[in-house]
Amino acid sequence: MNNMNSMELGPPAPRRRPSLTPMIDVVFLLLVFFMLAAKFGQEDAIGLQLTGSGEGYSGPPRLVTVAVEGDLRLNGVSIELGTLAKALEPMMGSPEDLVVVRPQSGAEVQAMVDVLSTLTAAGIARIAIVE
Amino acid sequence: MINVVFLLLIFFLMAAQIAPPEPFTVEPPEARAEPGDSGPIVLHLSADGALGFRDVLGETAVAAAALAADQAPLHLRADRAAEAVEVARVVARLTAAGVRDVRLITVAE
Repeated sequence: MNNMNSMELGPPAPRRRPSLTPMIDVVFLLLVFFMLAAKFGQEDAIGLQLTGSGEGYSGPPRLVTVAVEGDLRLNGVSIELGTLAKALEPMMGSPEDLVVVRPQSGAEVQAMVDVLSTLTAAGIARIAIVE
Repeated sequence: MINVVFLLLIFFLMAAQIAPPEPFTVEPPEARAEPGDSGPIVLHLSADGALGFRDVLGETAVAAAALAADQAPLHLRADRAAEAVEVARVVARLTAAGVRDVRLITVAE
């Protein structure tokens, strides 16, 4: 009679701890995936002023020509990169004035970017690249 | 050990940005510039003048990138050894296609 109400299942089985190995396998797999897929290295960006979108050009001509072999010309006169910012200073009415950078055929991107970063460091906000 | 592995996993999950793979390897020029994350729209220009945007290669990449950018900033990732004239040409074509914001990607020196 008593047996019908409470079923005897014997002593409770000891709880088995689940195996961690498959989980570790999965976690390692994910870890390796993200390690390989991740891209490291900080990249920066220089903003370019687009011709045709500006309010127009004012003041004296400010044309920096990037020639081959790192030669630079400001309005046609040969100049060093170190003195470029100083030479441009009297030509700038305000830091918002546009400076035009024109690479010549054969000049590398690195040479042009050197000029761009020099101008940016000198506080010139608007730089346009023309063909 | 599991704790450490989880920590690493979480780190890489947070640090990873799921980006489409580059169409070809490009070494951006070195410069001291403001840090700026490259957005989702990156137009690549290789050292030999080839253009690539996601899986579009060749001249049509400019139009495809301009279409994808619309008003959003477009990042131009040009190789440091590429012709600067090519960059000027691409920028002019992007402007003509209606892109408003073009940024040139560089790496820290």
